[in-house]
Amino acid sequence: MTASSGPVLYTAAQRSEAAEWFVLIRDESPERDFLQDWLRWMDADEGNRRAFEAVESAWNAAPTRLKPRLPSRAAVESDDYSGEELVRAWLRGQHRVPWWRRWAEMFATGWGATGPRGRRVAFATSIFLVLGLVGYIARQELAGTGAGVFQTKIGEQFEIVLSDGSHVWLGAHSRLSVAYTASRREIRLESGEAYFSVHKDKNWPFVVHSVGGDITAVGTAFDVRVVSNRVSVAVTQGVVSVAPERFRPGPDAAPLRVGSGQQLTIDRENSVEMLVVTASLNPGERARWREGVLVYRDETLRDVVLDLSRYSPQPLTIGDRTAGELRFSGVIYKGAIEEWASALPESFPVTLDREPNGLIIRSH
Amino acid sequence: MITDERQSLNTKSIPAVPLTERRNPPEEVERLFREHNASLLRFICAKVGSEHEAREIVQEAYVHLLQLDHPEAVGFLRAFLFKTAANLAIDRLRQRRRRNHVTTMGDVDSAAFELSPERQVAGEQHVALLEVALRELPPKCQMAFVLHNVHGVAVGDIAQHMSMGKCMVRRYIARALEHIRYRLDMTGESPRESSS
Repeated sequence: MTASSGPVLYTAAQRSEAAEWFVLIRDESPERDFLQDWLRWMDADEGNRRAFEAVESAWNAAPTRLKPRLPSRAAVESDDYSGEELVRAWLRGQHRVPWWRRWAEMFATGWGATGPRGRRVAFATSIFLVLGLVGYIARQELAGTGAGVFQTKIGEQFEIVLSDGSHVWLGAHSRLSVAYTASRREIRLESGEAYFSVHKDKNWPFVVHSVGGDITAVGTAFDVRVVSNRVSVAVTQGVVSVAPERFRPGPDAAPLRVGSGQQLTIDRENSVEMLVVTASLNPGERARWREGVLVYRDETLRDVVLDLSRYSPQPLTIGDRTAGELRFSGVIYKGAIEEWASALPESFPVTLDREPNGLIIRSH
Repeated sequence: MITDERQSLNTKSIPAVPLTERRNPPEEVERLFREHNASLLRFICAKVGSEHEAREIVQEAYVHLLQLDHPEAVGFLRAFLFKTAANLAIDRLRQRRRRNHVTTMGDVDSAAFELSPERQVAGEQHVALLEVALRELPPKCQMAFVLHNVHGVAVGDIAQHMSMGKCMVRRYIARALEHIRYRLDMTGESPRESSS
């Protein structure tokens, strides 16, 4: 076909634009002539063209033979989907919608039956759900091109579809490059965070280079987060092997293996510590940043704040060493970082100062 | 009438002469071919849903262009080329519909639909996956998509049936299509599976 295709096929934003163009182009009697604009769009980026082809093949693959049934009139009438957001964002909302139902049931069964504890749970749940909706996925914007270097701004994120069927979700304020060779699929995460869902191919290793070492996956899903001089790998599915940069295992030493539900942190000083996450924890929690839910477990406040600053439009810093060494576990919503910071003095021995150059957390 | 023109264009038997063998092929046409052939093919393929048929139509459109007595008289040759090909595509779609009597909203449920070979092959491969993707869609989205994709109902007719604007219908269909592509991408399904 047309392209000297690199490993990057298209981004999620290009896929969505392509679908819109495709529907316009099919129209037999358009209100105006879109041809000029469409041709310009097709020529603007190789990724646009590839996304268009991909969308076209999806259109032709739709299961016509199944004669899918039309939804009922009632379902159509009660549907409030406006088409603004993508379908998957709507689906995430759907899974959360039962909060009002839960509330309604709570009132219906009576407060007495539930007891004060139940009430607290309901309240906490509603807070969680409302905040969850606030921290919705940022609109994915295209920063890079098919060339394979991607960079996001503060608070921004996007998804990249690679030619082998692997996926990368690039987090806020992050930089990543992609280069596939005949022998290896190579990714370099220079800063920030990325979640990888790797298409299985045992003869073609998928290697993520990052500060402190290389992470090799075969077919698996994992998150890599760079915070100042440390890199942290959390595996949600399968196994990855990690070769720390300066820690050279001898011929008898096997590379470090990190399995599902485990997390490994390497710092630049190359003291390697393996943090085995207990089985009761949700291995996918680290990947939830993609929905705007940031989960931290026993991390220093310094690292948490550094990580948060990739999302917060308002600068947020730690004022002194003591405050930075406090340890934090909890969930923070991307859209409510300032609220989180202002509540911090209630549970930690810190103060929050609003200064012209941003929010500063200091110990007292 | 434009329709009559199209009809005659379609029925006239045009010798399929390769571009290079024609005497003095207008340079302009060759340039058009070089620069826009890939886009033109996608453009027609989007309309007829078959790569093979799209190639035939594109070829026919070029031949038509080369047979113009005064190509220089046509102001925007590129627009003319796309328009010609689009008209040919519409003719084919009409023929297909005439054979299958689809498109009236009334008999949508019993509609038979002719599938291009690409569609049949692709259908075998991802039925289960696509079925899930389709079921997940918001009802309005699903309605618009199924009517347009499966039953071949025009956007304007869907708009009337669902009492909403054409823009809204297009948006729903585009969102549905995006979601199906997303599901295919998630499983590492090759994006060009059925178009190459």
